[in-house]
Amino acid sequence: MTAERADQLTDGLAAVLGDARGDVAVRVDGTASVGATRRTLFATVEGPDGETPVVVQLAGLSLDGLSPATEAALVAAARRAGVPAPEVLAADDEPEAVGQPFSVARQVEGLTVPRHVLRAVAADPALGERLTEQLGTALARLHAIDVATIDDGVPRRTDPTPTEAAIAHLRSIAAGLPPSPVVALGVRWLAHHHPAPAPAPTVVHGDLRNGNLIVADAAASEGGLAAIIDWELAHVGDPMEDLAWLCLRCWRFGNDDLPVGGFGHLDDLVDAYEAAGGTFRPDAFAWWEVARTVWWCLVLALQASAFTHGLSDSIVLAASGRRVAELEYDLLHLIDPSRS
Amino acid sequence: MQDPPDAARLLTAMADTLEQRVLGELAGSAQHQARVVANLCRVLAREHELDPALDAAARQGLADLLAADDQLATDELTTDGLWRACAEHIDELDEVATHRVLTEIVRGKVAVAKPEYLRPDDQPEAP
Repeated sequence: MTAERADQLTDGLAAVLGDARGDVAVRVDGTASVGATRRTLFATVEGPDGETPVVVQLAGLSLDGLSPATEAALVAAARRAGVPAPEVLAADDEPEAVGQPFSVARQVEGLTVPRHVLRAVAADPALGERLTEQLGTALARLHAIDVATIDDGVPRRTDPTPTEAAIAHLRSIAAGLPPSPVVALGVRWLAHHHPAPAPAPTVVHGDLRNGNLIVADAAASEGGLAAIIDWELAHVGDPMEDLAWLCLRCWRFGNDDLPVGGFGHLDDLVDAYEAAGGTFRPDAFAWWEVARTVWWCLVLALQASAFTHGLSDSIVLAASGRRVAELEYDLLHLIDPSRS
Repeated sequence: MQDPPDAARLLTAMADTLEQRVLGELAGSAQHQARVVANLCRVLAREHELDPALDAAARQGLADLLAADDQLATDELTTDGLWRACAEHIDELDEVATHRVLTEIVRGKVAVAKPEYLRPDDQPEAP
């Protein structure tokens, strides 16, 4: 980032945040991550109340994501429903204020890097159990939100059903990529194995997994789920999609016997989910495991395609092309005809 | 033809250099990118060693699968062409046989890209 661009950003943020909080200054402390769709910065807001650590997200090329303002409205609704999520202090879909659409949220302390989370769980096995139960409860609360109250900008992936809509979505992504027989076989499986539809569509976080959690480890307090982050893929659909994505093998980081993010048992997740009012549907869960594995396979191929077509020079996106095989491998295992 | 060290050896040395001598000097995004490059060097070293045999096996498996459908002429196709043809004709192919052939090919791709990701019963036997 150039010095001029940095000044535009910090001055713009100070102006936006200053309206509500008096005269403030903003200092960028560092880059948290440069993802495929957005850049995340750590910053500090200095004002009359003292210093507030914040996370600034700058929107960029987005494959599917919500706009910052829509995402902020949804996160606020989730917080009201009792789902732990960062408090959004400001969000704007227009580029005028800081040069591009952005959001600013209060920083939540804790671990986010999956291997750090798993290290903390290894040191304190009760943490994994507690985290799993807290996720089950949080998901039940999220899925209980009345979708009629949700911002219109949150896509409704329900026409004619969430599973039909998902297949159409997968086919539309696949159409822009070189044909893959593994993806084609997966989509064929999905088309032949529709589960009974969800009783009612719900809000779906869409990217809830180890890596999008902030986990307070035991040293911080009791330890456990401090916040669910990265809501940009939220939509209205089948609630089992969230549970399935959370449990995909690629998010277990080698801890294959603990399907929930590599730190928890599925039974514990389901028990907590149902105790908080959710309904677990095993056939839909299994269907969404396959659907989201196909989806992630396609998104990785899409990231590599952005590199091969010269849309990005990111080595991280280029490397995604060598990760597709992992998802193909999991997909073929999930749809193995000899398992059914 | 090139003089030693060969490509696989060089790629492994590049990964070692990045991991042992460079990563510690970097931070943040630059460190992450260097780690990705080091990993890619190891992937490419395995690819250089394993890919000729894997590609030949994949070509044979796909050609046999597609040949079972008399409509398809496979002689002129490359492995990539066979892979695409398999995708395009997926609805006409036997599900069990297709699954078996694709699983074998993908197991080889994972052995190159991330061998530790293979399930224990898919791990290659130690030499």
